[in-house]
Amino acid sequence: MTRPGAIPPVLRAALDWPSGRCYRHCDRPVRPRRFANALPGTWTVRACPSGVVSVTSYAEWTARNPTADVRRYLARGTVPPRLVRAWDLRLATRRGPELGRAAERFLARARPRRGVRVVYWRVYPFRARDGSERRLFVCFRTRHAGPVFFAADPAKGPAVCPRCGPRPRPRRRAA
Amino acid sequence: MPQRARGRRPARLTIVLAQWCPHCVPLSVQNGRRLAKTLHVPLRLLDIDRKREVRAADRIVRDHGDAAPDYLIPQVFLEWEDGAVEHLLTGFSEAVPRTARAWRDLFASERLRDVRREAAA
Ligand SMILES: [Zn+2]
Ligand SMILES: [Zn+2]
Repeated sequence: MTRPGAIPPVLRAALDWPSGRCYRHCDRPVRPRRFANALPGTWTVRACPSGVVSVTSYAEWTARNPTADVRRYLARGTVPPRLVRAWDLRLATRRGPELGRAAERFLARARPRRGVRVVYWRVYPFRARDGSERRLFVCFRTRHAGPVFFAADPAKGPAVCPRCGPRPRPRRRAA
Repeated sequence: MPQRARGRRPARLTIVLAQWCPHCVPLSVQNGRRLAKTLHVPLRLLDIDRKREVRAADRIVRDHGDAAPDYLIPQVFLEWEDGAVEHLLTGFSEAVPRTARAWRDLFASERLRDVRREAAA
C-alpha cells in the first residue's frame, strides 16, 4: 500500500526531467534534488551548482488542490517565510495524455479518476531596497531537517545560509 | 479528466498564452496549429497581455484549467460542440524542452486517437 496522494513509480518516471539549465543566472546544468516531508507527494528542487534555485515543485496524485499545503510547508523552510508568496505558486494538472503512453494508461485505469497536481514555486530575480539583485538560494546541508530557502545577492560570492552561517575556515596551528 | 464522448464533435482548440513565453511562442502555437488541422477545428489564441483577450483567457482557465493568482501558460483546451471544455495541456515549468515533449506525447496519445475518431465520425 502506498500513501494516498503518493506518486507511483510509473508516474514518477513520466514526470522526471533530469536535464535543464540554470534559469537566468549561470546557464550551468541544474540538478534536480528530491526531499520529503509530511506531505505524501514528491518534492523536487532544481538548483544550479551555486545553489540558485530555478524552480521547486511538489507533485501529488490527487483530485484536490494542494497549493495551500505547499505554501505552508515551504514557508517553514524559508527565511524569511514571507518570501513564499501566493503569486509565485502555480498549479498544473497532468491528466495522462501529455505524459506518455504508460502513464496515460495507468491514469485511465485508476479509480477514482484523478490526475497529478503539480504546484511550482518560482521566485523571479528581484531587487533589494539598495538596488542590488536578489536570487532564491537553497541550502541542503544535512544539519537541517529539510532544505533551507533564502534570498541573497548572487554577485557577492558564495551565499551564506541563514540557518548554517558561514562555513568555518580550516584551522591552522601556530608554528 | 478526459471525457469519453459519444456522438459529438470537437468545435475549437484554444490556447491561452503570452508572446514573451518560450513555452508558448513558437512552440505551442506551431503545435496548436498542427493539432487544430488534424481535428479540423479552428485555433483560437488568447493572449493574456491583450485587453480584449485576457477576460476570456481568465475565464476558461478559472472554469476549466489550472487556476492560480498568476496562472501558468500555455494552457490548451479542446472545446466541443455541446459546450464541454476539455483541458489538454499546461506548460511544464521544468524546461521548454519538457513542454515540447508533452506536445509529442499528446499527439501520440490514445486520448487524441479517440478524439480524432470522433471528429471523423
Ligand atoms: Zn546558476
Ligand atoms: Zn544551511
